[in-house]
Amino acid sequence: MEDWIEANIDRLYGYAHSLAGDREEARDLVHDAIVRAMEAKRIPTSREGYRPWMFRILRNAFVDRCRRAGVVVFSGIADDPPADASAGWSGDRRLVEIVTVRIAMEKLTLHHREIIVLIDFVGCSYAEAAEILDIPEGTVMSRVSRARKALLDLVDDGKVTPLIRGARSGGAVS
Amino acid sequence: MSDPSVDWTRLNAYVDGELSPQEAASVANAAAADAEIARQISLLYKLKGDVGAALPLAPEGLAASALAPARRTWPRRASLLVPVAAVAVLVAALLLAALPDRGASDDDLLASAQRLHARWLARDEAQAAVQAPALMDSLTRFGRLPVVPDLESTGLTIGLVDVFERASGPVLQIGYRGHRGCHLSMFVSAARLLADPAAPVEDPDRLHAWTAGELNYMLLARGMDRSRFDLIAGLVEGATRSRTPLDAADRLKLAENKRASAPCQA
Repeated sequence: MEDWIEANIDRLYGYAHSLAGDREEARDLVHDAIVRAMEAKRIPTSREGYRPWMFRILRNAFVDRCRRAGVVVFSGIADDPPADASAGWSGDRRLVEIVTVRIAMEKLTLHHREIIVLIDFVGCSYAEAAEILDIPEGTVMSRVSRARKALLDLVDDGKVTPLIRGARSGGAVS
Repeated sequence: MSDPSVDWTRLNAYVDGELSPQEAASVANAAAADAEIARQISLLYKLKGDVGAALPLAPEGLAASALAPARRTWPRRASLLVPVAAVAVLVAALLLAALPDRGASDDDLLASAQRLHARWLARDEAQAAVQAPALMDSLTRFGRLPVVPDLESTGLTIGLVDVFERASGPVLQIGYRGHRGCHLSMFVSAARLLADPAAPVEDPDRLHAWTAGELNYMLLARGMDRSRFDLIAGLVEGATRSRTPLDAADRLKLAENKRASAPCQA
């Protein structure tokens, strides 16, 4: 279990940061979650079970903190606006740059940011994400597609200032 | 997309590897027959990769500090302070040795910025591109998200992103470089950068400072054509105040001005 935690510390921290939006809070959350995990009376019997279990502990730690602070952060109904499930995204893919994505992610709703981080950063399957979030797998599928569309809309709509256009290329010295 | 069975939700599940083999094959066939579907899939793969690279890494020692058995005999925050304090002393000593003067006066800060800019000029021979992890690390250390305009239309791309610490807080340096040796630094700080933003500087330096929202910005260039620098400074200031990208008209002005400007002398 300790080896798994060390190997996945970046994923844990990244997820905590996506929830808390703050470095210090994220560090404290991860610390809290690890303590809870190490003190748990029952842990998963296989490594395959560690990820959903550990990330659920971390998420619960975040919810507990918010509750103590009197903040309702996850309402009972996901704040997903109705989306056209059939239409794709028609923006300019050149806008999809890492830093732009980072800024846009911070503007997403927490539900959307959380699901994208779990799938694309932590590497969860839909089943694992469903277990962590305590929602049906079908809801994970629809939520992640809406979240990515919302993210791309933010990038394309000028709501996010593109940060890097030419950082990938090195200019010739003249 | 022309195939009604391949909608956005299904495409996302496809790139996530969540479709059955038969469903995945159906999507793959549709992509082979429809360039738009293929484009959407490619975009989603890129987005997944960008998200994966966009999040900050865990601070050094976080796992070790949380897993240490001795931690349970200490109050949680206190247990972090002991190793962190020792590291902080070492880091502070290194920073003091390596960084420009940490004096509190604005003249010192301007001098520091000029030295950092000059040091970048001297070191920037490899013309290496800024890598995403280094950029994300700098932004994470800075702790805020400034407006950083795209200046490609005036021939400048980002070649440096760094953070240096001052008593008043971190200062972010973003270095734009041109293909003919132009260098422009943008410094950003939550603390005031200059007492008198209108104070002149001597040639060949160009300087412009302002406050937009909660952040203070300063542009510094050496040997840049004055009309070019003034135009860049005015448009960048406007962009930081409105927190919007430069629009097409702005980019056109920059491009036309660049064509008419003298080459940089530094």
